[in-house]
Amino acid sequence: MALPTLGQSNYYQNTFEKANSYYAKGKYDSAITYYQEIERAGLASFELYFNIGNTAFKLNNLPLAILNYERASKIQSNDKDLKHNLDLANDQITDKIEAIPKFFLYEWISNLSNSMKSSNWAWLNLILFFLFLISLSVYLRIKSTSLKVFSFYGALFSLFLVFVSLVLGIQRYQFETNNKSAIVFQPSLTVKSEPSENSTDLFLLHEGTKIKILEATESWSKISLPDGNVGWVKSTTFEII
Amino acid sequence: MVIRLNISLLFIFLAVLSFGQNFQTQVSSTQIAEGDRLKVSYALDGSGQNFRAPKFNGFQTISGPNQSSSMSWVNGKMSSKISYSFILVALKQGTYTIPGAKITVDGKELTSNNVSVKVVKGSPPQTNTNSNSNTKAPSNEIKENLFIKVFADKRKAYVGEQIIVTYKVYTRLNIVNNGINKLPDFNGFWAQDIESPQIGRLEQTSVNGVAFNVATIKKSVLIPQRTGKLEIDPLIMDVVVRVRDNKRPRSMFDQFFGSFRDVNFQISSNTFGIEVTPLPEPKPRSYSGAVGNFKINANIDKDSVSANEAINYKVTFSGAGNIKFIGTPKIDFPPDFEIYDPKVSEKVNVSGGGINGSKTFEYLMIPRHGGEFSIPEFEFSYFNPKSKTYEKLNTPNFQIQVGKSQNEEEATFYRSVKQEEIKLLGQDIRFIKTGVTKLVEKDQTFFNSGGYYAGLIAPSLAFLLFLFLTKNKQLSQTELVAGRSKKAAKLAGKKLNTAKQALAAGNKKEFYEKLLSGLYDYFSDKFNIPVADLSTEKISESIASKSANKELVEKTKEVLSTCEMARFAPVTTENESETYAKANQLIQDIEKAI
Repeated sequence: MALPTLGQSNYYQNTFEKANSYYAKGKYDSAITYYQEIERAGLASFELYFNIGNTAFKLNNLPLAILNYERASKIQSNDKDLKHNLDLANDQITDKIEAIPKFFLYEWISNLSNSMKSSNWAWLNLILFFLFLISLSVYLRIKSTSLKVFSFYGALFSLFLVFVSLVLGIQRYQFETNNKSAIVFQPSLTVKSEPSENSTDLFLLHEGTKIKILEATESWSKISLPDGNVGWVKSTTFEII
Repeated sequence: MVIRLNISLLFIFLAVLSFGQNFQTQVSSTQIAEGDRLKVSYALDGSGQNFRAPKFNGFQTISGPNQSSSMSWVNGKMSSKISYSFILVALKQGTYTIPGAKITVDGKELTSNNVSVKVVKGSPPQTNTNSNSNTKAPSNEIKENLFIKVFADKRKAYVGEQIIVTYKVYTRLNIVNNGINKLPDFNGFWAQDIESPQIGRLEQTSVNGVAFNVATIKKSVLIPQRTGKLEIDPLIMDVVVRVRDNKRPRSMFDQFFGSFRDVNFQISSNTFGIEVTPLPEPKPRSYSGAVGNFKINANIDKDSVSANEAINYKVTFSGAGNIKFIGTPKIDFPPDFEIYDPKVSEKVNVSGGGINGSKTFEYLMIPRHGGEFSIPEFEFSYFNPKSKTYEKLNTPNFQIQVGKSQNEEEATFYRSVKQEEIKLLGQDIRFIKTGVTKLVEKDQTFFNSGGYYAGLIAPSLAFLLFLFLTKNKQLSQTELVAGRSKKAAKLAGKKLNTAKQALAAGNKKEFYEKLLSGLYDYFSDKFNIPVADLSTEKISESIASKSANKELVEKTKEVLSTCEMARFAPVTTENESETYAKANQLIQDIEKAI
């Protein structure tokens, strides 16, 4: 794990606290400068993204606020404050896109998958795997019949859990590492039918809307919306979460 | 004739009064028919000497100069007027100039203005003898002598700025009857009539040197409601005028007084446009449409009450302008107060100067709980068209001390009956996360990292190693079984010996028991069968599986059954020594065969 050195870490913790106090005083311009200094250093945390989102919201920069809330949710999705603030920010943007409702089981699994960071899933996966090996050893090497039965079922069960945690962890890992979602930053964005200025205008998006990047050429990207609409926009008009 | 002349002279003097300090030429009409009479008067404010009349070309003077003078006291100030008048008769049709006369005032020579008069061909004598009929009137003549004029105090205004519009009827004719046919719509304006004693009163004035009777018929305050060029539409009036008949007099009486008839006539005022400009931007946040000049006053009737006791909060706007358009002020009352809709009272006075007055909003507030509250200041802004700026006024901030309810019983009753839900006053994002944050480098996760794979592989290797180590141990256990099987005969021999000793001691029962347990131990060791699982059948099977010799199985069965029977039934068919020898023999046979 490449943690920042202790001195560095202290320095940025201080910067973070300084920015927090500026925020509390209502000096959002100063606050965001300090927050972004930490971000530029290549460091990230749930709290950092959350606070940048809040500051951007106060500065009336909705797309930046939503971008950072979404980034925070990649680290920790189940925070209630985050959900509240993100909902509030999403209520104020121009575009209201109705997502196609997903199958409940899918929703349920994705909720479960998002309940932990991928790192935690990885640790859980390792622990379960270790338990499985121990149960297996007990089954193979212990003569006592009752212990053998117990360890046999233990091994089966822990093997099942190893697979479950692996699948959920992989899903969560993909959620964290995929760069497929983005937030529109251009105040008004016309989505084209082809990657060219001369093509047909399909629909209009406004800043703050979350889009999915399907593929990208040099300067154009193919995007899709939660409601299923697909089109092409210039790659400079959005920011990847 | 003389009476009429004097009356008209009086009119002229009054007209002169309104004209000020100058020397004026006035004619009775600027257009007359050939052979008609024309009255020309030269009027001077104050006194002068040495009046010199001009020559009237194209006219014949039949009378004059007739001099008349008047004096009047207005507000204690004396003023005098002098007038010289002539009666002329037009000789020939054409346009003529009535030249100005000269007079010396305080050694200075004044010349009055020239007036142009048009002489037209005389109208033919009418054959219709009915003098009261509504026959076609000489409308040109009426038009010139009867009209409505509109005056506006401004032609350019801001939205909401008041404009005063006055409609005046000018006449030199004898009006018998009149009525308003159509009032202007004032589209795009909010309009209010001004009640004034001046309305309908006759005054005298002169227009282009001609004396007129003037009456104000309508005066309104207009407040433009939208921008652009707004048209003021005409006011139309039906008038019955008595005109002098041009036909030959029928009688002596007519000859003397002239003959008259009544004519219906419709007159309409001129239309004009008013340029309405929008209010300048940016408007203050508190601006709500007031234009004019206002004052604000706010007060509360008490600042210390107990809960559930009413307080009156009064905001009064006063001044000149579109006061009726002042909306209910948005005051941030303490949320815990019960506020009733305000009682609005207006005292608006519409006068010649426009609209002014006051508008009062009276709020009834009932604090429901004790505490210290404040009614924050309220900003009111209006546009002042004179200075062309927005002006802001503020009400003071009121502190209100609310004590506990005087009637405790009532208060508790109130609380128990009506529980309040928490009022949502606003919505905002939740506060930032403070405290320690665990900053890590971006895109760093444990999943899919070397550490994770190490965590998977290391226990797996440990597991395999464990399996390998424990496999050796199990191998040595099988050797142990083999050893046990080899030593089985030796151990059995020892057991059989103890059985033999028991027989020598004469204890037959003990002998059989020892013999049997010796045999069982032997089989147990020999075939690696747990003692608990031992039975004759099992032993027979083990022997059968390991040796083809059927006799051996039979022998084993025989020895074992003999021993078992002897254990429970002491009567035996064989003697003990024989049994002992058979058992020994059996062990030796098995050792040989397997």
